Amino acid sequence: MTNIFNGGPVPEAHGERGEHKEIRHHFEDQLDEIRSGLVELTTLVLENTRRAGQVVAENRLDLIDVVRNGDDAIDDLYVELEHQTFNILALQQPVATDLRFLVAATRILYEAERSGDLAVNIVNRAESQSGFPQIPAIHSLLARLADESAAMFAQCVDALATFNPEIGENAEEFDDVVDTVTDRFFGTVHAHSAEIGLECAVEMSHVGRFFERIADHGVNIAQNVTYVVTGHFPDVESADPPE
Amino acid sequence: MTDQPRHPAGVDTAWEGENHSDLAADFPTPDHIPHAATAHEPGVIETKDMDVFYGDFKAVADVTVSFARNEISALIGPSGCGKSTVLRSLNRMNDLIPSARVTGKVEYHGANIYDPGVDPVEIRRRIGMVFQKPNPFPKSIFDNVAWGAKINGFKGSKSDLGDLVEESLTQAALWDEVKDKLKDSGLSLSGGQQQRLCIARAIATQPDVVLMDEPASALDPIATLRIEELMLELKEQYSIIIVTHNMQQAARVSDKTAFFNVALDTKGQRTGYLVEFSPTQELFTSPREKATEDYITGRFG
Repeated sequence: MTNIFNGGPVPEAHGERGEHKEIRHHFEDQLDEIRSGLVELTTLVLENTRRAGQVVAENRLDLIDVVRNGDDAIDDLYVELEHQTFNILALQQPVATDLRFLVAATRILYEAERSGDLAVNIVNRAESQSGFPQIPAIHSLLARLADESAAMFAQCVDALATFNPEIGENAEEFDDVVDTVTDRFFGTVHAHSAEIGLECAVEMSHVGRFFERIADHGVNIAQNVTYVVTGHFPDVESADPPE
Repeated sequence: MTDQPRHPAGVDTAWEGENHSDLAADFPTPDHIPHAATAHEPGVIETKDMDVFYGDFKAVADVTVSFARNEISALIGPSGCGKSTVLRSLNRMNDLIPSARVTGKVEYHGANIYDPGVDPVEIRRRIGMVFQKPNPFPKSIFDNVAWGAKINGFKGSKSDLGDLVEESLTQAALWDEVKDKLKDSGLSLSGGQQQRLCIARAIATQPDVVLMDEPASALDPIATLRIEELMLELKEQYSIIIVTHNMQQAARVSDKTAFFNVALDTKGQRTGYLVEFSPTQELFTSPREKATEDYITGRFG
């Protein structure tokens, strides 16, 4: 695993006596804590996204409370990491990669926390309908959408764990797949709206939108990782500040 | 400003004499420099392949850099990287060290300040300096500021001189604090006030560029912020080049930052060199060079 904080070639000459000497170990530890915290947080969100997929695609209503409890843990970790990040920004005067990482961390925290809320929204909609009707055409697409969305989010967890900037560079292409499946899902739900009832069709459409949004948050997280490593966003348009 | 001018009555005689190269005769004054800022506007001071030696020892190698007009440029880097040496080379302050020698070019408005015929005293009037430790003369506050103008042949009336002192102290953000005690000794002031007095003294000679060598490192945080605020005011009228060990200070006040580092040669000699000169906002967010990143993030010391 690449460590962005210690990696890279050692410069030829520097420092008081030209010696190679790492300093600020305490600060490095603080940054590492935030980084592993972000991996943990996004992993929790990924698990909840997968569970939400099981709730709607496999009618696993027993997982609804697991998702809700999981989101409480996500919120707690979010608050803790935001607090730590803010303290380091206030006390350590970070610059360069450190500054980019901490600013990106605040954005990533927001994106992850929102994704967690969306997973809860999904199971709430399923619960309101006591599970969705098992129409095969709709169902296979919903299962596919849940899988693609989780797969996109898994990529952002991977980007955070490895600090690989290429994942963010290619995230838009991956997200296009999610968008395509989402559009097909909407069309299919619409086509069956008389059969499943308008209210159910609306709720299912919401669920489709929520999965698609989770994938978007995953894209933003991966692109923030690219920004930390390279200093540039891969795609400025999609890296607009969250609305 | 520890050296005595060779022409206490004014430098104009030396400056306008006949035995000067064309370069010196054409030496432009700041008033002749168009103010319009363009992308290709030459810097107020530009060094080209500048080396600075102390005897045989090469302290700084191969510095090519252009300091822009009405900007604050900061020089940062570890001890021994030559940043103070570079600063002192920009107004020939290093002339005062007998073994010091500069090769390459240091151009002030396009003219090499090391050319024969150029008067270092006139250079230092136009390119003033403020030092790390506040060093007012053991004279009154008024005389501290009036001194530079007097030795540079100030020809105005007493009230004109009073106006100049008031204007300089006002520009240095000190007037309100000292206007009722101008006859008190400059040494009676606090450290921060003394440093602002020295800045007032430097700008009273109506320089074009002000060099500052760690101007706030002997001051407490509030006095430091006052000096920084003052620099931001002064850059409207002057070009400022500052050496600082305080990276946050460079980040707070400067428009561009130069990072100098030290290289060891095979004989173990330490020579400073310029690693990167970038807009400050870029240098502290996405530095171009890995060595800069390592220094400013404190990864190597």
